[in-house]
Amino acid sequence: MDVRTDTSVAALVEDGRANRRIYADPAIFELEMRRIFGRAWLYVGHESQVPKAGDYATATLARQPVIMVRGADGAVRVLFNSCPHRGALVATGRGGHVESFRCDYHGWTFRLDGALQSIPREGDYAGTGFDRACADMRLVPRADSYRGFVFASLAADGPDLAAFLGPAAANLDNMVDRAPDGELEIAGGCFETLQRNNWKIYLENLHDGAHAMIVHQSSFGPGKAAASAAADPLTRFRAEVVAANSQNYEQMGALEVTSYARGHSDMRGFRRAASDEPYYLDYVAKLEERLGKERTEAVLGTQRHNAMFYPGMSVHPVFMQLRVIQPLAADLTRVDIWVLRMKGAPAWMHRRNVAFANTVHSPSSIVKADDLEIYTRVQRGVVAEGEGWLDQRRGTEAAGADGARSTALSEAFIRNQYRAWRDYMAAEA
Amino acid sequence: MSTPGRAEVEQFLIEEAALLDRGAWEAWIALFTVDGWYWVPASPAQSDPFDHVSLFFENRPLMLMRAERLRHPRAHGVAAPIRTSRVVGNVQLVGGGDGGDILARSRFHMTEVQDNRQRVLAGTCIHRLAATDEGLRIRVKRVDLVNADTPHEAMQVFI
Ligand code: FES
Ligand SMILES: [Fe+2]
Repeated sequence: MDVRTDTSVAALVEDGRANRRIYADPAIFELEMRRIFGRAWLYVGHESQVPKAGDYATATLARQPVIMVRGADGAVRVLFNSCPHRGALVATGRGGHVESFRCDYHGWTFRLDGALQSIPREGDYAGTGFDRACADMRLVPRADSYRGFVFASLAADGPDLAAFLGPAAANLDNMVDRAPDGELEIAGGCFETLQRNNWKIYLENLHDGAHAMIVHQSSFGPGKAAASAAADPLTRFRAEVVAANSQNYEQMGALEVTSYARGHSDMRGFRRAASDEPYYLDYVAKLEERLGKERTEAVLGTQRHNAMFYPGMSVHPVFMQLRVIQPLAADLTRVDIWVLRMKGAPAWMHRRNVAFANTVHSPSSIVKADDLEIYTRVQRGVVAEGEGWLDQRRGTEAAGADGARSTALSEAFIRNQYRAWRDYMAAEA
Repeated sequence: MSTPGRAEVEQFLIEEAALLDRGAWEAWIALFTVDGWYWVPASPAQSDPFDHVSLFFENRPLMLMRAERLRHPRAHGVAAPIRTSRVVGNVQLVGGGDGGDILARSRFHMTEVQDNRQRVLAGTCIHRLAATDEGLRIRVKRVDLVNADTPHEAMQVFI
């Protein structure tokens, strides 16, 4: 098939079912990289990672290396991390600070906005047709930020960032609003994790309330036991997070899930977030100082467990977790998990959120271990031909003001992801 | 108990590794003091387990929670058993800690096999040990993986 013009692939997804081929076929994976990840707005990083001019952080968008950099003019830009001369990475490592970029192959240098600055022995180009004006590092076609979260799109055309995020952006608003100083920063490291499954298998699990009591049986019982044995609040918190997967079908069926345009979705919270620990009460008081009592109640009362920004980012607003989903191959996905610190909040708020990350997002999580095993089993299972289609019809949905309402027992959010998949895949690129 | 020397500490670390290789989780956890901690940082030279994420950061209730899950008949992640082989070496006593504790540094190599996959984890362990009437007990075991900050697949068993 001609990967540029073949749009028949969109027929592999219908409303309520998906063909098995979409999880394992390398040609389809390549097409997804071009048509979905090559078009959508993808999370690059957070502005707090590059507070000063010359600060930069590297990232990967649809397998392509990029640099997020703060320019001399204070603007944050996203450049392809590749030298215009013979292609070498210009920045290495996770990030740092530079006055200007210098390629370590032949020593070309570039300003912070990517403009070519100098070429050693530039005179050698005299009479060769070399055009200095075409030798800048390239900007990723579009970059923009939403309340500190920096996104980029590899496509020159398409909806702007605000239109892309749509009503799901309320989840990012809620995260920022929760900070007593009204600002977030990346703090406390990052978990870089690998999953041996197609990226879509992971996304299909994000609000799947029907799996928890089956998949997490091995951990929620021990979690309950540990919660009652715990002598300190942080240990009890971690054990309760593990125990929370014991929600029965009635409880899961009462959790509202909302599906938005372009594949995004969110789910109401079910883990204990408020507490009567002194640090938490202190936090609420600090937030009230900025927002007042009523608004504070509204902000803290907006309890979303997680939100998915299709196709590459997910957040847990209450616990300040941010996941970046990077497909590496049809059967290999990298997920990086960051924690955001609320500026102005007591130290233990961040410590609690770090403890949440340690419990559910660490490679050692006893909750995630069983999810990962199941994702692998799906990946190994889908290549069996048999009935060619997989079912996504569980549960209904009803139109709401800003999106379709369903519950954590419904596969409505999955159907919504596949409507977005089909829309992206049906258009030539 | 009289202050143990390097040879006794080495013997203790070898026996500790053997308990882990046998999957004798509860016996291994019993080597910790009641307020003991097990810590595997997520970054090299990480100084803090509270404000920075860790691969493992567990006290006894959390270690027991992990052990109980590993024994659960529906622990899908270990439906295919995990087998490990550890080699402990380069044991050094690096001075006393607080209140007569012993600080020991050692190196380890651990080969882990599950299903048809094999990986090697290696690094440095720092044990803060208390000499008690029942023998040596672990106050803190810190494991610095040489690849602490590279992408990881699941880590289900204690390292
Ligand atoms: S490849 Fe960068 S200077 Fe030659
Ligand atoms: Fe799960």
